[in-house]
Amino acid sequence: MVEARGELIASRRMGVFQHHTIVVPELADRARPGQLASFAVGGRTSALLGRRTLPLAAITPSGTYGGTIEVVVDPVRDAGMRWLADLRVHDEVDVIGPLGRAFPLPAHGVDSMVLGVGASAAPLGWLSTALRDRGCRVELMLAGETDRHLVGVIEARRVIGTVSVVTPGPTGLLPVLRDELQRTLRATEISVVYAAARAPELSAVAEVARPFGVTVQALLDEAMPCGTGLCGSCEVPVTGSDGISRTIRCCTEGAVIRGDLVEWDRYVAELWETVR
Amino acid sequence: MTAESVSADIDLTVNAGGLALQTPVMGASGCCGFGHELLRLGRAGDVSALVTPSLTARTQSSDHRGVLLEVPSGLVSPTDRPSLGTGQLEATRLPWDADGIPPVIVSLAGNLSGAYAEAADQLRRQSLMRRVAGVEVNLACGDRKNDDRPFAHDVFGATKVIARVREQLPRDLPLFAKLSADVHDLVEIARGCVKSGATGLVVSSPLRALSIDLPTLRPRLTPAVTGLSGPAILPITLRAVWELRAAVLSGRLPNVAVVAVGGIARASDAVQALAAGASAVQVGSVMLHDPSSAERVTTGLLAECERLGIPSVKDLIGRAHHD
Ligand SMILES: Cc1cc2nc3c(=O)[nH]c(=O)nc-3n(C[C@H](O)[C@H](O)[C@H](O)COP(=O)(O)O)c2cc1C
Ligand code: FES
Repeated sequence: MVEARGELIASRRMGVFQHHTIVVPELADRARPGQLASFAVGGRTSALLGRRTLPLAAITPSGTYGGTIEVVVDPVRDAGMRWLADLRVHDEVDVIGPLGRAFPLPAHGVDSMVLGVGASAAPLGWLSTALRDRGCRVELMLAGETDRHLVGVIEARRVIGTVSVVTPGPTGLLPVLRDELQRTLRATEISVVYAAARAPELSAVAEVARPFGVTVQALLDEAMPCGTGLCGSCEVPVTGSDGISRTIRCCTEGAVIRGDLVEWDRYVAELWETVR
Repeated sequence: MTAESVSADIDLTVNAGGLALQTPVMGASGCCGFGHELLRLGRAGDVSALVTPSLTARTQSSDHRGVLLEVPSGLVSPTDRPSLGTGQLEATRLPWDADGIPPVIVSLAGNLSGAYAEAADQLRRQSLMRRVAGVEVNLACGDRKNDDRPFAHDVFGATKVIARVREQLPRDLPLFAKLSADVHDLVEIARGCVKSGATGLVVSSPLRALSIDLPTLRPRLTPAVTGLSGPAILPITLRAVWELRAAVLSGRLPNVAVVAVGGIARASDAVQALAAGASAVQVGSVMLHDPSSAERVTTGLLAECERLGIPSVKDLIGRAHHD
C-alpha cells in the first residue's frame, strides 16, 4: 500500500464523467484490476473528512512520466467527487493504493461475462483484456442512465468485439438489466460474471445469476470513507462458508466479493437506512 | 521527515495517568484499528499509544452499520457501533506482539455497569493482557438502567462503571475515563471517576448530534446514539480540557492527567490542547482523512517546541493557565 501525492497529467470528459490520469509510480507498479485508490478531497484545508475511494480504471507501470493510474469520477455523486472531477492538469492530490482484493482471474480460459453500471464500470476494460489474455471468451455488458453514462464502450469494442449496452426502459434501468442478463445467461455457457456497480444493481445481478449456478465476482462501488480499514464504516454483511453471518470490510477484504456470500437485502437496506 | 530529524534535543516524552509515552500523540479509539491496519500502512509507530475500538463483554452486532456522514469539518456517526467481545480477542490474533506496535490501550464499552465489569474481567484473563498498557472506559454508551442516557452524562452512572472496572484490573494498570464535553457539570463527573479509581481523564467522546435524511425528512441515525467528531469540535475539546485543568488548579478536582481528543488535526491544535492542560492528545477522525496525520502532528510539535525555545514538551502542559 502506497501513500503518495499524485500529479494529474491528463483529464478528459467521458460522457457525464471525468477521466483522470495521475502519476503515482509505486502504486501503478502493483495494482491489479478490481483494486482501488483512495483520494483525500478538498485540498490542504479541506472541510471534507471522508476520502473518496474509487476502482482503478487502468494503470501504466512505466510511461514517460513514470507510472500512472487512471480513474473515472462521477461528479454528481457528492461535493468530494465534484472536487475530484474538477482537478486540472498539474494539480496534486493525496492518494493511497492499491487497496483491496482484485478480481480473481481464472487459471485457464472460461466463458465469462463482464458487466458494469455507470462510472463503476471503469475497471472493466482492463479486466476484460486480462481475461482475454488468459484465453477467456468475454461478453461485455455496459449499463447507464443514458448513453452518456456508459464508460468505455468504444475502447471495449476494440478489445472485445461485441458489447451490449443497457439503458433504462419505462420502469428504470434495473428491470432491463435483469432481463438482458437473464437472456444472455440462458443463451450462453457463461460460468462467471464479473460485475462492478452500486449495491442495488449488484444485488440484482447476484439474484439473476443464482439459478444458473454462475459465480458472480462483484466489485462493490460504495462509500469507503477511509479506504484503509481504520474506520469500519464500509462493512458488508456476508455469510461465511461455515454458514455464519459476519461482516467484512469492503475496502480491505473487498471491494471484490463473491456475490453469493453477500447478504444483499440486509446490506442494501442498511445503506439507505433511516430511523423509522 | 521523521520526528527525530527535526531535533534530537527536544524531549517529547510525557506521562499521562501513569502511562509513560514517547510522544504526546496517541491514536483515538475506533479511528486507528486494532494494530493490523496501521502496520499495513507502515504507520504503527506514528502513535505513542494505540487505543483500540471499544470492546464489550460479548461480541455485539449493532442495529446500524457504522455509517459516517460528512458534515463541514466533521463526521456524524453512530456511537453504538458493532463491537468485539473481550473473550474473543485471542481468536482474532492481534498483532500486539509485532515489532513496531506501540503500547496498546484497550477501550471497554457496555450498557450496564456489570457489563463493563464483565468485559474487564474477561480481558484480565486473556494472555494478551500482558501487552495491555492501560484501559480506557468509553462512557458514551447508554445506561440500560437509566433510560439509555450515556453514563458520561450522569455522575452516579459514570462513577459506578469506573469503580466496577477498577476492581477487575491490576491495581497499577492506568485506567482512563473517557468523558463527554457535552454535559452540564464536567468537573463533577470527572471527580466521581477519579475518586472511583481513574488515573486519567479523556475528553471528549463525540458530541451528541443529529442528521436528517433529506428525501424522507426522518433522522438518518438514531438520535440518542449519534455523535459529531472531527475538527469542528476542537474548540469544545479545548474548553473541556481547560475546565478540568482549572478544577485541578483550584482544588476542585484531585491532580489527574487529562488527555484531549476531539478535533486534533494539526500540531497547532495539539499545542493548544497541551497549553489548555492536556498531558497528551489523541488523533481520531483526521486519521481517516489522512493516515499520516499523527506523524505530522508529532513533527509539528517538535518544530513548535523549537520555535518557542522549549526543551521539553512537558513545559507546554497547562501553559494557558499561567499569568
Ligand atoms: C469511525 C469512528 C469510530 C469510533 N469508535 C469509537 C469507539 O469504538 N470507542 C470510543 O470510545 N470512541 C470512538 N470514537 C470516538 C473517537 O475516539 C473520538 O472520541 C472522537 O471521534 C473525537 O475525536 P476526533 O474529533 O479526533 O475524531 C469513534 C470515532 C469515529 C469517527
Ligand atoms: S472505508 Fe474505512 S474501514 Fe473501509
